[in-house]
Amino acid sequence: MTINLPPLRELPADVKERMRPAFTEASTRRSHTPLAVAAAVALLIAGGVAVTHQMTRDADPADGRVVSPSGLDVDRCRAALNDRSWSSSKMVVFGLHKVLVGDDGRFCGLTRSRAIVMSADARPLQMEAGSLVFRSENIIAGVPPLGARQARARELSPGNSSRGSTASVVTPEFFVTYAATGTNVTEMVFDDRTIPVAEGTAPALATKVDSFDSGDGNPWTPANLLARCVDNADRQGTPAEELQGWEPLISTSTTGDRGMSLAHLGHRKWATCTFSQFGADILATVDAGDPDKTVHFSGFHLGSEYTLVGRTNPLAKTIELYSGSTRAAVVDVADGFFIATVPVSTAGTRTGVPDLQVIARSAKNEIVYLGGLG
Amino acid sequence: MRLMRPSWEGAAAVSDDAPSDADLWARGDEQAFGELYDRYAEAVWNHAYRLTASWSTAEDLTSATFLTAWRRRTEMTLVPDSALPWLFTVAGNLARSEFRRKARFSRLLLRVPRNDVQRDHADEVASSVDHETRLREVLQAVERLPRAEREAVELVLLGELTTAEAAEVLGVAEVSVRSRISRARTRLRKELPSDTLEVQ
Repeated sequence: MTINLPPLRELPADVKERMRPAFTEASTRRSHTPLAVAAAVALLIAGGVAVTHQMTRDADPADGRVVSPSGLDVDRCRAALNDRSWSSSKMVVFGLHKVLVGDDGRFCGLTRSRAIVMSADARPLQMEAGSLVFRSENIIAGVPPLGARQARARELSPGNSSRGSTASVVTPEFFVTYAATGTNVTEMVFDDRTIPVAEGTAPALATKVDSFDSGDGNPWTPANLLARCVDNADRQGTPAEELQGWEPLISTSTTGDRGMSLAHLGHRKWATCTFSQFGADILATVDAGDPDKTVHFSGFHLGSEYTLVGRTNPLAKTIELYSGSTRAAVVDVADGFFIATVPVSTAGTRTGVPDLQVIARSAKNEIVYLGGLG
Repeated sequence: MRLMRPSWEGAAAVSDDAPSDADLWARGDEQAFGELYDRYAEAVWNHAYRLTASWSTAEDLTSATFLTAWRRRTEMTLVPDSALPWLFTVAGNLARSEFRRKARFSRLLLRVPRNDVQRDHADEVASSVDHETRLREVLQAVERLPRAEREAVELVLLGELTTAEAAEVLGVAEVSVRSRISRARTRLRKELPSDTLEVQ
């Protein structure tokens, strides 16, 4: 008995050249994929091959870049996909962006305040080698060609200038590329092989939904407002390392009205962000100058009120703001910072900002500052 | 001119005074591996098709097989004269990775229109589809074989290597390969429809 095999074919010359690998030194300097390792391990036991020196397992380029997602990460994706059975054990992280690889092949992107999932009508693109499965502003993901070790998504514009992804992770099972600024994809480059992506054929942009890394679905909590501001700063190009570790300190609204929040980084740096029912601004670090001075450095008008962010003596626990003889507001102070809303009509204004006098008191109710607001 | 390696159809004929595979391997430069590629690309490509039942995957698999050889060239010395059994073994390992990968993503990729490279003339298409269908049935059955039997089947029944060549690359006695093939045949006979097999 033999297996009824298809007849052998003559290899067409064009196919032969298309398959021919680039035998270049650059290839050998790259670390090796599990596929290559698996093949080599098989060779070690092969009688026809003698190993000339001790072989150690090479580092997979994706090692350390592929981690396990947390239960919360998976739950956020399940909610966004509306599929409680979706599961994932692999995740890639680029700065503030997480990409979970579903066991069923569906990808899910997470930022501090959003989940990004493939829309129901999006169609993966089978390219001449590999496939594109997921596309968002920053992430392109899919299945690489067999043996691929590097991937890059590129956008060629009519002027022949190009931009593209700045980081990637490639495993035998999937690839994920990341672009700090939104990029369309007009071609994929796997190692030295460029594969065009015809206009309109890439999967539809993935859908964004609110999803917060706090696990709380209320978008108006201080933590979630901060998450949204951090995401916006990330989109505007603030380096990810400058956006890590911030925690909410003070927030003026928890109901969706226009407001302002103040965040701290280890009580060493501070940042503000304004928000409204239409969205949030970016997280912007504060340069409040001399910490011993009481100053007003930011604010906004809303109707007949003015909300201001200021800084006073770090020993202060509360601060009272007076417009003339009228006490306009009393608010808590944290790390020397405060946010207060005062009526504009109670005082004359200087360039639209009320002239205010300030009394700052310590936890023992001692006055630690008395004077104007610079 | 005497041919050194006439035994495997698809391996390019090599003249007597040409360097051996082992010599080329030892040289390890781009030109030497280009020569190895020229000798065996067709054989590996056909074998890759028999391992995957897809010509487009066979292309990727062929490239990956030679690239693996290139990357590993400094770590091993090719002892036998022919590199072909070694290349077939690498292709087999890569093909199994490809099966696992495709199985995982099959749910998604089923939604993608197939774009396999199609080189058949119109009158060959029906025959090709028929071959592919049968080959997929065979491969599914081979995939279920115990590993030792599967490796032997891939090299001897699919790859058409001799049992001696397979024994060498698998690092076992030739009689073991024959035994594995025999057991595998018994299993395959039970699993595969009769028209998928030819009785000798």
